[in-house]
Amino acid sequence: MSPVMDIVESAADERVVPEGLVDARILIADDDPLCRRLVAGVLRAQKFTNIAFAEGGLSAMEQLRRFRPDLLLLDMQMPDMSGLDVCRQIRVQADFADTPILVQTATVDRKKMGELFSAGASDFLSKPINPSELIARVVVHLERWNSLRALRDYRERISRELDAARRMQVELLPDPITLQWAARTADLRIASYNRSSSELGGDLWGMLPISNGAFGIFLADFTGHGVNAALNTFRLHALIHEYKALHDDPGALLSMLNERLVRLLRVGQFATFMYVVVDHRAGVLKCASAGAPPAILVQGTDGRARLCDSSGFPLGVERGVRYRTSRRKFPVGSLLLLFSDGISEFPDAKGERIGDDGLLAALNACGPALTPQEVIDRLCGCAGITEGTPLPDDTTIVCIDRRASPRRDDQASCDRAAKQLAMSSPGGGR
Amino acid sequence: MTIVSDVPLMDQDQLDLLRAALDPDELRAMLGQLPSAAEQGLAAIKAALAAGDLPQVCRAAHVLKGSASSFGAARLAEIARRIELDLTTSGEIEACLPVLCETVAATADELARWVERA
Repeated sequence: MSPVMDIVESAADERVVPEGLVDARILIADDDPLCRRLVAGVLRAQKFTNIAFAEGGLSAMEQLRRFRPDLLLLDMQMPDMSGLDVCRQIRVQADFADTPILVQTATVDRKKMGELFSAGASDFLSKPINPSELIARVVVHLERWNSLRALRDYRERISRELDAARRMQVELLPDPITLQWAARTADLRIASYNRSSSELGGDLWGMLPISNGAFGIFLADFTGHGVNAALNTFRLHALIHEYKALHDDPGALLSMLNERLVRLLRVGQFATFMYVVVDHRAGVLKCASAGAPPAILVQGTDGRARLCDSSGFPLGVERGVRYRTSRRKFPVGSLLLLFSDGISEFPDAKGERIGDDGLLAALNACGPALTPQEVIDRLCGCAGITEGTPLPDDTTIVCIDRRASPRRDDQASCDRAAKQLAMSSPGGGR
Repeated sequence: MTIVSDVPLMDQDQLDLLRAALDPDELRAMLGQLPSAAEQGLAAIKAALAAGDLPQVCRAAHVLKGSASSFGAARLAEIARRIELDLTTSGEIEACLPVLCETVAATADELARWVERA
């Protein structure tokens, strides 16, 4: 053996195929039995064991279905079907749209090479067969495909988990039946809008029944969005329901929630929070705010929309903050709008934001004939939010409407809506 | 066809590459099969020529070229390549057959020696 041969051999020994790859299923399609055997021999010498053969194009298509290869080594020229046609027929099958196909060809014709790639070949192998080139290209393409599949599997799993989490989060929101029942008892109408900027959001709103038809409405907005913010909405939801005795006392409830959240949340995490108790019998609202955007209140039939002053630290920033309850009149003919800054800060097509004052003006322009749902739709429209628009921030709007006492047929339609919602999935349509 | 004698009978570099990449017994077995594969190729070319089927001549020559070149039978591969791609009439191909027969035999002899040595 010549010294040159020694070098070649030791170089070959150092070439190692990564362990995870040797189980890959490789299909060799060639009409020449000796060439099939040569290619298989080179692969087997590198510990590839999962090898199948096809004697032509038709048998390659058949083996594709049966053997489901991870990689295909395809001879360009076969008597029954050209390698190009085999490529094209494989690529139209969704299952094999990305499977690596390495075409063996003796041609160096630029036009033919172009055709080969446009037919869907992943790469080519020159003929006569060069074993190092064969192994190197096989390894590169198997690795590439493996990472593609791993990434795809990961994305699918994450997406399923986020879906499940989103369903759970939607279940935190008030269920439509309870909401409509509370609205009817209090002789008013409630409509809402809630959309996240990503799969999971940091906004949460809810209704807390109190007594004598009074109820509380809260709207929270955690810093950030995504999983972190969403997990915090679950914490907050649990805390709110832990302090049932404080549901009639907004200031006390916020003070208590703040004490708990300060201890739970990491530095930099906090929530703005607005809580309003609606007492229709007394015609009064009791409100407390923790850094939330101001609520908008229309008092009585002839009232103009006004921003309710909202000050105070967000929840979870500082210990010992005392939140105060303020009272406002809420006679028949009034309307209350709670919102997260997802709407006021939404940048429209021109990059402009409607702001609190813009919302105020838009609400003043809403006629009394509009239902609260129509009012919300109108405000979204004014802010530039349409159904398909991606939202940069989680967005929640709640509208409580005492302007017109629901007529009988309205109540009937309420019942119908409640029934429909009850039949649909728990997450749907809120 | 005198020019093909410029092409070495065997491509030593290709054989070295195969030796480095393959199990020695497996390589010996495959090289042992090449002469009969070449005979078959020759027979297929002759038969197609006799039938006046030139496209079939090209296909048979293409297969012969593929295995011959991959196993380092350089001169045989070159003659097959000419039959497949350069020669256009049955007369030209006919004239090429003697040197093809000769080369098939010479390749078989050389491979027999090579297999013995290896």
